[in-house]
Amino acid sequence: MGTSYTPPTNPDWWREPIERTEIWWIVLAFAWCLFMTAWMVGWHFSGTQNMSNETYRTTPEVFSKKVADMQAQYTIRKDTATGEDVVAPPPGSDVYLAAMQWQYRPILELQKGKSYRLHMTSLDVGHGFSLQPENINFQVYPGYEQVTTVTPNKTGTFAIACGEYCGGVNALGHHTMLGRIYVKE
Amino acid sequence: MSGPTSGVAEPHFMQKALDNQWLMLALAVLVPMVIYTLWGLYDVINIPTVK
Amino acid sequence: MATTTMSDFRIDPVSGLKINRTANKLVQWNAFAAVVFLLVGGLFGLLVALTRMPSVQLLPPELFYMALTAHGLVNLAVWIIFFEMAVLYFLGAHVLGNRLATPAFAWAQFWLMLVGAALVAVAVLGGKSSVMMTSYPPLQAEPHFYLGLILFAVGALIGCFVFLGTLVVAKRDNTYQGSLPLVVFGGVTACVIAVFTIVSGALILIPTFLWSIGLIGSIDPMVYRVVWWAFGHSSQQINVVAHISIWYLIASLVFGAKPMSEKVSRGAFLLYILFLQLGSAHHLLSDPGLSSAWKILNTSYMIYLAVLASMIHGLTVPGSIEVAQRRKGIDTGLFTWLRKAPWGNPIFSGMFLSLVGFGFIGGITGVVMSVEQINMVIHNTMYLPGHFHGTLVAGTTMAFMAVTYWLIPVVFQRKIALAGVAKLQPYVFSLGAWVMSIGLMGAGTLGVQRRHADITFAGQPLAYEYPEIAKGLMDLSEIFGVIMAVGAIMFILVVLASIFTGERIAEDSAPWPKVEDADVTAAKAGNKHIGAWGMEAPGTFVLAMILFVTIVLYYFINFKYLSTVWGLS
Repeated sequence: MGTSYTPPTNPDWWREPIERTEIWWIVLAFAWCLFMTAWMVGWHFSGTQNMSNETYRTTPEVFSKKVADMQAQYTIRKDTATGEDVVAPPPGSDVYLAAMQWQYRPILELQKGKSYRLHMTSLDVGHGFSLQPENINFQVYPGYEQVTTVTPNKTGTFAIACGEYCGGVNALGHHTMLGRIYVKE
Repeated sequence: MSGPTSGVAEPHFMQKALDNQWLMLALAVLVPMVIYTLWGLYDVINIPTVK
Repeated sequence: MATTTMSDFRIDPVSGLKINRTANKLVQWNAFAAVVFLLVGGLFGLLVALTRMPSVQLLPPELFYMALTAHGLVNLAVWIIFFEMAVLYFLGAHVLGNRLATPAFAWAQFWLMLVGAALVAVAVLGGKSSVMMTSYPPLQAEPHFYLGLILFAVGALIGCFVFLGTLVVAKRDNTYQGSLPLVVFGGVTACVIAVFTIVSGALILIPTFLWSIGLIGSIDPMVYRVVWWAFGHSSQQINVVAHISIWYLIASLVFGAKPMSEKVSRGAFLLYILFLQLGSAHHLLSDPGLSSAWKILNTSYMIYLAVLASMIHGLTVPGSIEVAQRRKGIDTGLFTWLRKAPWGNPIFSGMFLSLVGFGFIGGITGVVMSVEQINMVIHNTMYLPGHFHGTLVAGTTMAFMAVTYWLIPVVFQRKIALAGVAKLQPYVFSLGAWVMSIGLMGAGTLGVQRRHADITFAGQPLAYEYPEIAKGLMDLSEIFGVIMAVGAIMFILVVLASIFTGERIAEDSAPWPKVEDADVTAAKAGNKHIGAWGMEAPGTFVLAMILFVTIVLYYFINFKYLSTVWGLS
């Protein structure tokens, strides 16, 4: 007698020896578990793509001012698609990007191989930052400013899409939300 | 019948622990409450304000 | 205290179990409600699928967002938790030949959950609560949305304590000897995780409700997410435990299989009890503010110990079947035991398809996605729904469907009607779910974002176009989503036809032939179990190694891909 829906036939079941198939599998699986843990930690030291934790509490007003200051200083031209400012902050500087219903602004222009401290916040509800076609994705919140050091490693025109549902109506909403980053040599 | 009968060894303490549903309940609630919830909230609450 | 008399119980001819009539009623009502909600949620899912096919785009965005909210809540929460209440009462009462501790409270569980679900439905269908299942502030739903969820959760919590109380009664009334059966211990695991889940939900949804009626000024979005996901992800982990218990149950029912090692299986459940809920951190890996230390420890379920538990069950469940088959004399080769399994029996085929689908599609992708760094190239893309249809649909829902084919004769006392449909159903449903999941993950890898009514960004000045193949994958995936819906409809047809028109099984009819316990058969026949390489389940070990190699390869492929994107630190 012995099934999974009747009590264990051996009243001393904890002391029952474990059979070989299970032992080998447990040892192998556990070793892999330890490896994955170590790799995740190790990537922080030797990998070039890691999450930044630098975050601050902020407000839409405070952040918008920083955007405006950056825009005033570093706008280089008008974008052909929308006529809006394209902002080209210097390498190594603090770059400010705001998410809002339903766009990411300002439009940025960065240089390949250079690093920038990218600050992001939302001016209203939660949004997702998704750089395409790189497919780099972050959450962005109102009241929180996160800073990530980004180093573009290819040139081109990159879109920012939103992956976190943020409302809207048929014509304008989460599904139409876009931003843009140009990367030049 | 629970508990040892004559001739049968006292169950291993792990067996007794697993047989204790209230202990299991306490572990299921307390361990993640501390490691996930309280620590996570601690991190969020300690986010500094921007200068 | 009421005493029970023999007429309060019946001996079930199908299973041989001693079944309490009141407990049985509660299993029936919860299971039936579950199936009704599966249908409702599934219909919303069909509308979602037909909208997310770029070539169809059935619903306009506002209706799509409403349908998506409804689909998520009804299928992720209502269908599954109603079914789990039925499973808990079944495990605590029927499996132990026991009565329910407090039937009055069990009825309270049922009605609270039903009223709660109805309130949420009214809110969502009203059009002003399209906040997705996750309802993140500052997005705000109407007050009855939150109130409905709270009532639903309170009902479920009551159900959990009815189950725990029922186990106390069983012990006191001596309805079983020694330790609980393994599947009931699985029920305990699911139940205690559910308590953490629901308490976390209450902790955040109550203040959010108060905010929606203006009594609280605001809800911090990060605090909400940390606490909500303790509810949101853990609720899905309950499903994992429930479906694993069901796998063990079916293995015994169909093969007379015995757990390979009570210690190993229960030890694995203990790892779940301790660490499974930590996986809630998976949803916060791409969030600001939370430390990497918190992320790494929690996302790994504590150095991957809960993943170890899943890998253990992934071996011991099929392993127990292999051992049972070999003990019964099907002892040749590596996989004869599997080839000669009853693939025409939907109870078995559904269970095994669930195991393979959950392990290979849901499990592997889950482990990889939950790496802190890899999450950056996956978060909030279509990879997510692809993954969780692999776990929840190909895995949990398929397993629940499989066991239902057995529960209907036992609990509803009717033979399965439309048996031919039932035989095919697991294959159709799994085919749909597997290909849809894989396709959606492919689209997600190419960048397609979640929860978009329209992926073409039509008419937008800063327009972006996903690669053509991504759109093709969305079309393909959703076509298989429709096939999956057909599989679900087949299931519902069989269930309704059986419950209402199936041939009745009289209480006093002759007992159905029971599959003999494998070790009894072996003892009688004097079979010496051989296996291979000193292992009693070598075929399962090979299958497990295939899974292992796939995980390792997929893990490194994803790190390679991650290393090619922009530098981030």
